[in-house]
Amino acid sequence: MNFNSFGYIFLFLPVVFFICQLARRLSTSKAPQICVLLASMFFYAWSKPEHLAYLLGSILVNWQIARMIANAAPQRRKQFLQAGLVLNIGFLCVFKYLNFFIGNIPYFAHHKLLVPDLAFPLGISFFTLAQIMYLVDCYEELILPSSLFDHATFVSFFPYIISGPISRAKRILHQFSTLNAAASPSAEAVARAMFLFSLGLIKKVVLADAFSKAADFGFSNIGSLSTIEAWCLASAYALQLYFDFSGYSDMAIASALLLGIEVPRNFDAPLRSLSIIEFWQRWHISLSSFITTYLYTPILRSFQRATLATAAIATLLAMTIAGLWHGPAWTFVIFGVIHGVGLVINQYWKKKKMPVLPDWLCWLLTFALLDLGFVFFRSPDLHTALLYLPHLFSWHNVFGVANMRQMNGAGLMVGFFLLAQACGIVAAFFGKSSDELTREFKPTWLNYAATAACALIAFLYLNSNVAKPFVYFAF
Amino acid sequence: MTARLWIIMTFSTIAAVVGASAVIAYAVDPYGILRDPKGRELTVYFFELKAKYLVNERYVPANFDGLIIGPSSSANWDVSSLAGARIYNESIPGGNAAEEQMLVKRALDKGHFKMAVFVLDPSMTASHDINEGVDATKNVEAIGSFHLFAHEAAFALHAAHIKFNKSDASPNGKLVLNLAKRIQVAKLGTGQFNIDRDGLNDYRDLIQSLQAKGATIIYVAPPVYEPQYKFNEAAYKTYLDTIRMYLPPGPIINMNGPEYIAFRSNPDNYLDCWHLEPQGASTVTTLLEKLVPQAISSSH
Repeated sequence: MNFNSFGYIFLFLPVVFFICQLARRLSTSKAPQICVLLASMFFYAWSKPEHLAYLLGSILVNWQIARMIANAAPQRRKQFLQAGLVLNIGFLCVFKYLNFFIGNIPYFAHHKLLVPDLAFPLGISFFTLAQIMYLVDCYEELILPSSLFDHATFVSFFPYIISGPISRAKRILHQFSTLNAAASPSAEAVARAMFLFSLGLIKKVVLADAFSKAADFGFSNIGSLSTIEAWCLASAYALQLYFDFSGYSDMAIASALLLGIEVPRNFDAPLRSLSIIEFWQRWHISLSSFITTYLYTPILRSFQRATLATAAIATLLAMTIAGLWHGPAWTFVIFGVIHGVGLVINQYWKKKKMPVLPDWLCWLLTFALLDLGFVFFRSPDLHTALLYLPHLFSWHNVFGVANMRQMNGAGLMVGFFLLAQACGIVAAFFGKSSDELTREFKPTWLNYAATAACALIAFLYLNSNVAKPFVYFAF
Repeated sequence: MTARLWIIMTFSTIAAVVGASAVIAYAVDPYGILRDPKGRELTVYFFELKAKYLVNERYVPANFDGLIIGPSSSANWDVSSLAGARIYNESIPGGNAAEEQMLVKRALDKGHFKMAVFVLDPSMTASHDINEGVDATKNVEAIGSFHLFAHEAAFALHAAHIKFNKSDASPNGKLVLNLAKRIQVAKLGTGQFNIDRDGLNDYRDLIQSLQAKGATIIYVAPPVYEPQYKFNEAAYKTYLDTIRMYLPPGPIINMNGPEYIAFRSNPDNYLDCWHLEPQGASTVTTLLEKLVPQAISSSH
């Protein structure tokens, strides 16, 4: 079930909200949480019921391992953690990476030893990371193992099960008492949730999909792109991805807020970043936090001394793994490597106190690196990316706009898409982030008009059958 | 404003706008989906493919019992009746067999069709791509969508007697072709006559579906501007022979035959080598009105 569907907006979410409200009035103290758990299972099973077994298996196994870690003698705790990590990574690999790894070993690929392609369970990359964080946090005694009921509710929570934000147990588990409390979420919180949901919806349905038209056109006509067009259309993809994923995250956070649960923010106006380090502090924040805490730091610790060189190796390794996390393809690996190299240069520049560049140049260099990375991210294969790259640096046809003209052409919808793109550019580079807007939210006439307008425009797009699925559903 | 009032106001506004939109949609109902379309005359503005997909739900089966199925070259044939059947022109600019199949199968579920004219143009079987996401179009779009609002705006402009230059389709499906006149004879590549296997299957399935419901099938090879036809005669003949082998048998009116050479040689009849000027389309219509009954009676 998509957040950007009428079924979710008008049926699923309101029904869950009202059932939870009713459950709060029951004497059973855990009734609202039971409702949320059942709703989450239903939500997850909606598109592919057979994949529910994988999710339940993952919940059960990780809950048991966490208990074993907590109860084991100190010398065995690490073994249980290692077993848990191997199981989780193995689980992810079987569904996502096995054929990628085997296919890249020439002997095996040649002998057709590839295993059948298994359709990977929805959200596997997200809930597996949540499980890994849970096990590590239990091992480091940051949290105590929770009950199976709490663990199942935490992992399967429908607002984030499919595409994040990837949440740590210690940020969520303690809020179940609020969920189960007799008092309903305040009208202020519900209004704020509605406001944020409408922002997310319009970001996804109107802005992201408008940029996707341009990006799709660019990647379908690579051969004839001029230099300026190549950069513009790569930027269009950056904007598409930003609005798509941040819109999804806003809707996820808003859905959780409606039930009284606060999920950490995932984006903070990342396209305004003045360095690649700043970018990763603002883009997919929950994944960045995972990379820093659970990949970069352990890798760095594994070296005897923390130097600039070891930090660079740790950064490169962590970002390569993060790139691969997005999918089993070399394009994602290279995306990770590009960002890793960018981060290393950025760290070196800062440590060595190199000359400070003007802000506009910092922004331009950062955005250029993002575009470069996103060319690999968007390309269906390495060949396509390598076809696209020369156009970014070509002196042959620098200022040609023939493709732009052809893309824009004429017609009614084009006008709507161009207007949406103009609004998107202003919002991404000059406007406040959803998080800022939501924090500053007050139930004013202006916010009322904005929320109603955003919702109505988004509904119009949704009902005109021009909306596309979320990009991150593929991961 | 209190938060509670804010929530009530927001919900009320959304509900009011959606409600008002639905009421206007019901009143205008340009696709004949919301109200009984029997006897209505619906004009199609904008997004022809989507609009024709939607009118095939109720309007076409309720008002017509004959069809013309073809690409843009037959889209401006203004045929109201043939051999006693009321005709709806399903032709779509840039259309192919797969899209026509999607359109017509909706009408077939509810209607009864005595006859169908199938246009044998290479573009019909060149691919089976579905454009404009028409395969995912839902009837609920008739309550509020871009194309509905565009239709409503067109209605309002017409009501205000304000002229606007936009192609539209008559109640019988005839489209106005807004093409600049540009007759340029050229040798066509083999790719232009490529027959897509899936596209051909779609065309055959559609013909068989109509036949199974009792419709008489007539094939028409549309008239190509004579110098262009001569330049590519072998390819056109091969295409026609090939496709006829795969499609169910039926009478054919070949407008590229020698008897129509005078018509085809007159550039005044053409916008380009394939699309007809209104006067050319009118001549073809007259011819069809005469030839189709003859073809049907000869086939019996």
